[in-house]
Amino acid sequence: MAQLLILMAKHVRLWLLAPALVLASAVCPADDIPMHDARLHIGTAVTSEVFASWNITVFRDGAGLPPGSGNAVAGEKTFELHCARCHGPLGTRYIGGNQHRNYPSLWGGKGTLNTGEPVQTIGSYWPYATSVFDYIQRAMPFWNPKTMSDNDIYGLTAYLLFRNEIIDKETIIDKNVLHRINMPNRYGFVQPDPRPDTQAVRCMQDCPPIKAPGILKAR
Amino acid sequence: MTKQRKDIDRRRFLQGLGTLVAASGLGINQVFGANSRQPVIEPLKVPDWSRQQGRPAGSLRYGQPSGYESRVQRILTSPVLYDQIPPQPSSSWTYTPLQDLHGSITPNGLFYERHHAGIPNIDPREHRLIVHGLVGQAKMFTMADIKRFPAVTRTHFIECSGNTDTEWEKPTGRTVQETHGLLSCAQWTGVPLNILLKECGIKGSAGWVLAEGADAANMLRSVPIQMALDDVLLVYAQNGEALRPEQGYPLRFLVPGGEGNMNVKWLRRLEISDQPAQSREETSKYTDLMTNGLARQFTFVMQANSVITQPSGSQNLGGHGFYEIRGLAWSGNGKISHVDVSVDGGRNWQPAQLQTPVENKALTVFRFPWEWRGQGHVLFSRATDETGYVQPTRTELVKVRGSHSEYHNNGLQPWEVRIDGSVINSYG
Repeated sequence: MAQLLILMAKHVRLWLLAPALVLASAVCPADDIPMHDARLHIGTAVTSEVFASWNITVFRDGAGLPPGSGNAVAGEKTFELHCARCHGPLGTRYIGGNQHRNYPSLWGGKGTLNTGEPVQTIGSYWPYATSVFDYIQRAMPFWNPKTMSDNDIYGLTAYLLFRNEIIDKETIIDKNVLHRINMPNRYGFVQPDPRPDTQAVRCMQDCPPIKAPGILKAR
Repeated sequence: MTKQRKDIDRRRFLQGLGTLVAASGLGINQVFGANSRQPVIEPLKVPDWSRQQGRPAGSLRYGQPSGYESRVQRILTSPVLYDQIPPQPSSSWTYTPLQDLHGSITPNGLFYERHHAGIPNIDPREHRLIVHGLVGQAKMFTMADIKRFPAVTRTHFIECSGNTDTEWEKPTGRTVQETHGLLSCAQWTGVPLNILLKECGIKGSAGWVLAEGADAANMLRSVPIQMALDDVLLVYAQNGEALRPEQGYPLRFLVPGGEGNMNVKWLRRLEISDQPAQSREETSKYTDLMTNGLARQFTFVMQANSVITQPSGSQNLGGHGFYEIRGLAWSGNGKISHVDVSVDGGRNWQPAQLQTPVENKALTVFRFPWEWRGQGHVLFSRATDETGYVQPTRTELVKVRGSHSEYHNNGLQPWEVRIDGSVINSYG
């Protein structure tokens, strides 16, 4: 029964099926997995204090955001201090000097997604403001992650949202405000995965010759 | 013996030799000499290596390939491939030399890389895995704990979702390493995730597993609980030995058939949640922008794909004669059922032979005998998997998705064989 449900789930791609499937699949693993019902009593029970410093996910409803606050005025200073050396003062891709590498654009690109030349930035593309805080907290600055304070990160998040014309320069961001900010591309994503989205067949004789996609567009 | 008979024998000898020469990959000129009409074969000398002791056993405690194979290596991306300005090496990737490998297993030292904050040097004695969230009891595991769990061994490919993204609009990579090299396959050993999660007890409201790594980027991907409990493994070994640091030492979250990015390396935390994290790696990145400006999110599975690795871009065929066209096929939806090969630009196809056993969500080798008579050809391979899905052309993909979806380019790959025997990345 569970195998049938798993098969159904695969083909209709309903990843968000009822939790009942969870329990069903948990007791019916693949053929070669050793079967045992009892717990093995391996590992150590822990409370959340033990892993608090690792428990960093910021969810789209604001869960996981720490205490603290900041606005774009403060964030601009943080940006100049920690971010501009890679992202450049304009938050765009290429800068000069010995940091001449490829860093993603941070703002701009508004209204470009359905043009021939989309520019995907925080403002033009990201669906959730909370993801900005989450990502900076994890991984930025690139060379010295985990060195900024929570206030710094709030200020920086506010600055990036300001530069993307989503909030004012003075708007204060904190854990009650951030998740309420509606990003321009909030509804720009589709789920579930609609693939397969092609209908190729195993043609064996006298099939149409295959050309580069570019040539087809020119017609 | 009559003169006619001698001539026939000599012709047969030369043909046989020619075939042997061609099959060995040598140019005709290397054996025959550029201007000679007669075969000139020097009598064999006794080389140095037959006259003196070689290196003793144990001279390399961890063995290495012959120095004569040193050109077989991973390569970094380059301005030819990536937008003129390369990314920071700590947040970059390397390509596997598919054209130089044999069989379906990628040696550990040649497994492709994609990192976001370089490769951490993790002490396994200090490393921990935390499992928390919608579980009966949050638990912490050491590596010793993880290795005590019942284990399985499975062969699976890992493919970067961005593999072949240089080829969307026009042929760009010069070799199959450059066009398809973000692809490798290994035999993995580890504990099935569902066994480990049973240890903690999953609550009924659980919908997602959030997997996070211990590198400086602490990269996180969210996986639906259904998919996670199906065949996800927590692995600590690749091809018989401990994971390499480049592949996530000491612990990796292995999602068979899933986007490479989902296979979180240096795994430190699993949060069982009722919602996805919506991290940068599943919103800003690894989402597929369509022509209408909407983007597909959570396109987890790497669909059926194939590519000819021999002959392939930048290689050269020697003389005319027999060649075996070889390549790889794979599908994140299960087993490969067919691979067809065309030598005339996709007009006509014939089935190739698959190397058995054909394994689930693993690289499959295919082989196709071919007689090259010196003409120009455009070669293609086309995979079909057990769901019946047939690998599409890039044109078909672009028709549906436009040119900016970036990820999941599993379209047919051309290799043009020119009359001089050179092979280039071209539709002809």
